[in-house]
Amino acid sequence: MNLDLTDESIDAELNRAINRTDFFRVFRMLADRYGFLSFAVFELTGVRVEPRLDRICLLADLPRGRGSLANVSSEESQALLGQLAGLRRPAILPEPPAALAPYMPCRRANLIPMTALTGERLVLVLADDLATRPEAEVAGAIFDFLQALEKLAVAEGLDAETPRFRRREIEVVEWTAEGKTSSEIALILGLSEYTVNEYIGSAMRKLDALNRIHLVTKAIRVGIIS
Amino acid sequence: MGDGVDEQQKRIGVLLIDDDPTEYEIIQYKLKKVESHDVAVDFVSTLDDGLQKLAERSYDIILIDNMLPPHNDFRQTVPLIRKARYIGPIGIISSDISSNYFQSFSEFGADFRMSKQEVDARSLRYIFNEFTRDNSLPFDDEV
Repeated sequence: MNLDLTDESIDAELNRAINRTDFFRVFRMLADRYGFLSFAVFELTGVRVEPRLDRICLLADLPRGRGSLANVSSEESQALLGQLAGLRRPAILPEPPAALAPYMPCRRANLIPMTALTGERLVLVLADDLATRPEAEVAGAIFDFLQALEKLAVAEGLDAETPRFRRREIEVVEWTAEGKTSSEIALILGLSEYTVNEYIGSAMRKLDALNRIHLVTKAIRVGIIS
Repeated sequence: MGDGVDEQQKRIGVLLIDDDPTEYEIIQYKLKKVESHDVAVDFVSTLDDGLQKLAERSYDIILIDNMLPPHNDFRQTVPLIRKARYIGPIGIISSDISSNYFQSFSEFGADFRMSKQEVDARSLRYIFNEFTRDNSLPFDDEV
């Protein structure tokens, strides 16, 4: 079923969204439309023994960016992940989760979970400064943000049981297998080093690889590169 | 709400390439509201001047206007910047980013696109936070 967002201009931007900055723009537009202060999207996959929130945060509109979440203690991270993993439907918390409170100042938090076709889950945390909201407005926000989360899941390759690899991801893995560094690959492909690292990160996530060597080994084993 | 985080401001060097000098004035005004970063913007109005600047010093981010005479659009300008061995982030800013050819921005070496109307303190803060963070070798320390 393909439903459209309630705002046509935001819907058009969502349909054009390709990378995370595009999705940041769309989530920002939606947050502005409904009057939320900030947001963060977490992907509940690859959660290891000592989870780091900055590594599972796909998008965030935080004063110091998603990198600031690296400062959250593992105990608080674990508590938040347990809370997010247990969500089955949207929920409103009377105050922000302790792990996020220093980074998302707000009166209360709205949590919107979405399960992708792969079984992985995305959870959107919205910082809200309003004590109450009309039910219809909450329903509209949930509807719109769910559409955006579903498109984000597709863009992140979470819409198929077997991970799909973009051409650029394969090229970057091939050059990594040749022993090239990110900056060398950036020069070869005419990209930024940031984007090369993002491709490496997404390929690692799709193959559940732990480092570059593991990534190359797994990529050869499953036939992505030869 | 400001960016009120009690930490030292991060220094960012931005090169703005735009044939309209008023864009420089506008972005300088918007940057005053970005409390999380100490941003120094160099402004040039042609790609050639931009390439000259790149030869002289390094920049954390380049913001480039889509239409930059005598070039057609980013599909011509961004590859020329990459050819000059710049591997930092490049963002395309334009009054209208809805044309179909914008969908190929990543193929031409750009990292993001943003309409000029969208460029405000929060967007700039996101860009500075995201594109200047160290995203290299994720998970390597766990092995």
